[in-house]
Amino acid sequence: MLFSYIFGILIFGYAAWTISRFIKKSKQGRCATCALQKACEQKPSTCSNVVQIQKNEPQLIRNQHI
Amino acid sequence: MEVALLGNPNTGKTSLFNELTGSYEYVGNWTGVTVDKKVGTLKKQMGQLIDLPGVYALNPISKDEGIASQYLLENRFTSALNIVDASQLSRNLHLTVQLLEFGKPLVIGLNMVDVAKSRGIAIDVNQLSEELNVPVLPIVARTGKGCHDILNYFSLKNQHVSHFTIDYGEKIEKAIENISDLLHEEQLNHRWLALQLLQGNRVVLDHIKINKGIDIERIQRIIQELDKHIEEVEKCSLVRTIYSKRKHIIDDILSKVITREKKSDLTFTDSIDSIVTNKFLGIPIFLGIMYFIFHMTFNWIGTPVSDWLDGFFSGPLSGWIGQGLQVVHATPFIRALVLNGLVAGVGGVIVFVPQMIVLFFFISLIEDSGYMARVALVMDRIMQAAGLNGKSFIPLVIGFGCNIPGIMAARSIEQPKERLITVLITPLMSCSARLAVYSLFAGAFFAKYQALVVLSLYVLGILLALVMAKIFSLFFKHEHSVFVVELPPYRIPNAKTLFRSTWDKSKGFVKKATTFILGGTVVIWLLSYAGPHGLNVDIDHSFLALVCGYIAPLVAPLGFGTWQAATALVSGFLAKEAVVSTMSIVYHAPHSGTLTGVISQAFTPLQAYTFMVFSLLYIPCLSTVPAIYKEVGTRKLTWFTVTYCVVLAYIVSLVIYQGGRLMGF
Repeated sequence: MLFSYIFGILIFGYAAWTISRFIKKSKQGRCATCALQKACEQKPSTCSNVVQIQKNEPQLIRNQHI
Repeated sequence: MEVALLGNPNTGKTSLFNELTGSYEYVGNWTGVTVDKKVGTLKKQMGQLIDLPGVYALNPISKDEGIASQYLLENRFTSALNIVDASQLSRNLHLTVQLLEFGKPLVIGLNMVDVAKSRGIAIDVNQLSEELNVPVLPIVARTGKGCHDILNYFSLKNQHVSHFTIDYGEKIEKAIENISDLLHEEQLNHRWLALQLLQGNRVVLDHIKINKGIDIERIQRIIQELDKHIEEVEKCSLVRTIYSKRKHIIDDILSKVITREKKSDLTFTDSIDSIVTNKFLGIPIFLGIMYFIFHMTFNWIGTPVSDWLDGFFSGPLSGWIGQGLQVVHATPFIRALVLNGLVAGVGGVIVFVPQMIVLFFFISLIEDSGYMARVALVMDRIMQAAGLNGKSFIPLVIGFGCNIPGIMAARSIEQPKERLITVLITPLMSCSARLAVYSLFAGAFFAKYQALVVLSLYVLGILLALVMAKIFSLFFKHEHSVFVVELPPYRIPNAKTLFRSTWDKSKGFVKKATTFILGGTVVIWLLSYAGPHGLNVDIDHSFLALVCGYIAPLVAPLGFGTWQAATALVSGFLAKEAVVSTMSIVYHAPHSGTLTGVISQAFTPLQAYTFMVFSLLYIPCLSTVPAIYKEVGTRKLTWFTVTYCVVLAYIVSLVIYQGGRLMGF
């Protein structure tokens, strides 16, 4: 009986932990899916540090890649 | 120490990154794999290495290209590592010149020296180093050859700062000087900033604008005047003039460092390309290759092993665990939880691992061979008909592995509307998680034609994505961009890369099955074990049957109006693999044999195919939704994506099921 109690607590505890962790990670979006997450030292908030090029901003010179 | 890794697209930056950091990051022999910066720790704990997306120049066009410029502006890194493709020196050195102008310590990793040699290009490395006034280290990043020299270089205390200056002509030099004077409050190299401003680098302009002490209007006036003058005198734009000056210097350097041996005009790569990129043969060849891969996965190698594993899980393993639980006097509740919940649910997903391994191996094989870039080229014409271009096909192909990196990869698309449409249609791609659902149903109902059935689902996903892209493009009016893709030379895939790539993807599948899927399985099992009348109720009177019984009529017109199917679909929103684990629980009966056997009694072949189609399309999974939100930027568009997927899945499934019935299936 004691074994059943301990085993039950372990299984349900692990299940609750994996679900909460998954939902938390899903909310973080792509950082959680990054293969480098262990080696990565960036904070999740800086991970999406991407330049937004404003469309309506007056251009000095048209961008050109050659 | 912080080292920035920069280079042109598809020059092997990520391969070098993996070599220098000892980590494993997704590598592909095609452009646009890295769309965000990645930070890793250099071996021997020397410092950090930052892998930046590939750029041809520092002046960004697409969203991901801005990251390199932004990084140079905002980060005080110690030195830069510029990886240069030895077989494409002329083009690669344009970025090198701009990095040299930046004035930070720089070292060049001259990659693919083996490819250059095979093309008859011999490079005098010492001479190149002397001309550019920086250390140049020849490497082969894929095999790790020479990478140790780079690590050794970084261990040196005093790193070399190059003094490389190009004379851009009197007028431009004068403008550089005037702008530099106005930038006195800036800590970065004034000449570099001025040159980037003259080239219209918007990231640099935005950076300068933040500094209130700088007279931005005066700078703009200087640039406009110079631009006007150059147009009048040289009959050429300012950007073009700067480019020409650099090209002249680069050509001069190359004439001193490169010796070309006479080689056959038609290379091995050209010969293959003449067939696989043929106007008429290209797509049939691609479909043929995919069919072959699915045949290997489902008919020849994967399924026999999976069937054996399935038999083992439901037979001996369940027996052993059952006996073990009896020995320790486990209660009936725990026995049911372990056998009917964990073993059935998690085991039901794990049995598909052999198929995943085979499929991931072949996908990694075609990625590393260089063929994937050709697929994008071949698809360009079809994509154009849908209002997009071949560049949008790259995120879609990445989406076959997992929709999230596919959605992120859309950043490499310059045109904002094209990028948005690509993000919206990527969830329609068959990710590897959906493969577990296909494996189960195709194995149960279409044993002989599994490969064909799975291929039809992949093709259906692509076709519907194209139809939706066409519809969306009618609403989002946009300028069409031109698709330019670099076709890397074909190469024999690297065994280490293949192993790592296959291992990494398969490991992710197993990890998910033993963590989140396991957690979900416990919840689903508990809901199927408990009911309004207490525990251990008949499964048809459980909470699960009660709640999902209300959803079932909604999907009844699609042919699977049972509470069991409804439960599987609801849990599938959390993760697509959960469809299989849930089915393993809700269809589980003692001594009922394998899940495949039970499923084949519960569905007809037409219902099974419709269920697979619905699973393919009906909703992006829980992890994909925030990724969509991050890319599209609004809740409205995120909700729109989720909603249109559900509506599309319903309509298509309805047409297939009711059409199939009318045709007598």
